[in-house]
Amino acid sequence: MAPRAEMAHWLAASVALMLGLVLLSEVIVGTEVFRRRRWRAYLWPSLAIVSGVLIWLIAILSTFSTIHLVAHAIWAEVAMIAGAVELAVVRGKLSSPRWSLAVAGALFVSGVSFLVHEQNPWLYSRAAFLHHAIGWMLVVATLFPLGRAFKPQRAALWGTGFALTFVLLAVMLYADRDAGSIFGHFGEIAGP
Amino acid sequence: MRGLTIQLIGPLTILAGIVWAVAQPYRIVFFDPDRSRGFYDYVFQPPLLVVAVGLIYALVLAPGLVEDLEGRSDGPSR
Repeated sequence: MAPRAEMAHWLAASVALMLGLVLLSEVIVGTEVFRRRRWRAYLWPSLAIVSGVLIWLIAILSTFSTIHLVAHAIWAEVAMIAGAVELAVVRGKLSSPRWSLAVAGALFVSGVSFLVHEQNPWLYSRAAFLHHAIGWMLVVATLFPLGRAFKPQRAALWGTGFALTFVLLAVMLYADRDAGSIFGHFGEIAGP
Repeated sequence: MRGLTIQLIGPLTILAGIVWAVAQPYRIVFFDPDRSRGFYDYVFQPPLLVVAVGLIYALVLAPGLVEDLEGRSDGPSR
């Protein structure tokens, strides 16, 4: 038996929560201390790339409509691109703070993808509400890597915002249900 | 202070998962075993996953971070 879609979303939430805590830790202890052990430096890029691989698997095996297939494929692609760029930054192959624009682009495209592929209005169902909320949250969160690219001297501010974006994303994904009401509303034909 | 914050993140995450499990016990199938439920229903439940993330953080990430923060690890990078 394959896990239901909501379970895949809860697993994605767990990866996002771990990612958020890892990024928050780096802000708290500082990049120098955080990267004192090499494996920790590779955590965030690795998690992004592995997330991309797992989303590809979901796109291939568990999406049942073209629009969902395209959306998951886009998330997989941008996660892998962002992870690859961050890996090159950690390795020292790329040094300009402008490379944060790759992460900014990934967040923006992910957010737009959430918004575009949700066909129903906000209060149609809990899943529809979360698609809109996550989409707009990711679009707004683009500001954090943008800030890191153009105002790198405020790294702590942008880093905190970026880390909390993933914690908030985790909370929203954990709240997902295949069929669930939102504020008492539930579309007549909503559900899996 | 920063070391204490790092040490608290894991336990607080675990606590959040436990509070969630108490608030919505129907999500924890172990409390009310049901043969019609599958493996995923037992394991892949949000409160359990939150506790798991907190445990991994507290056991794998936090100890080394605190150690490095307090400067006890002066050797070459690993």
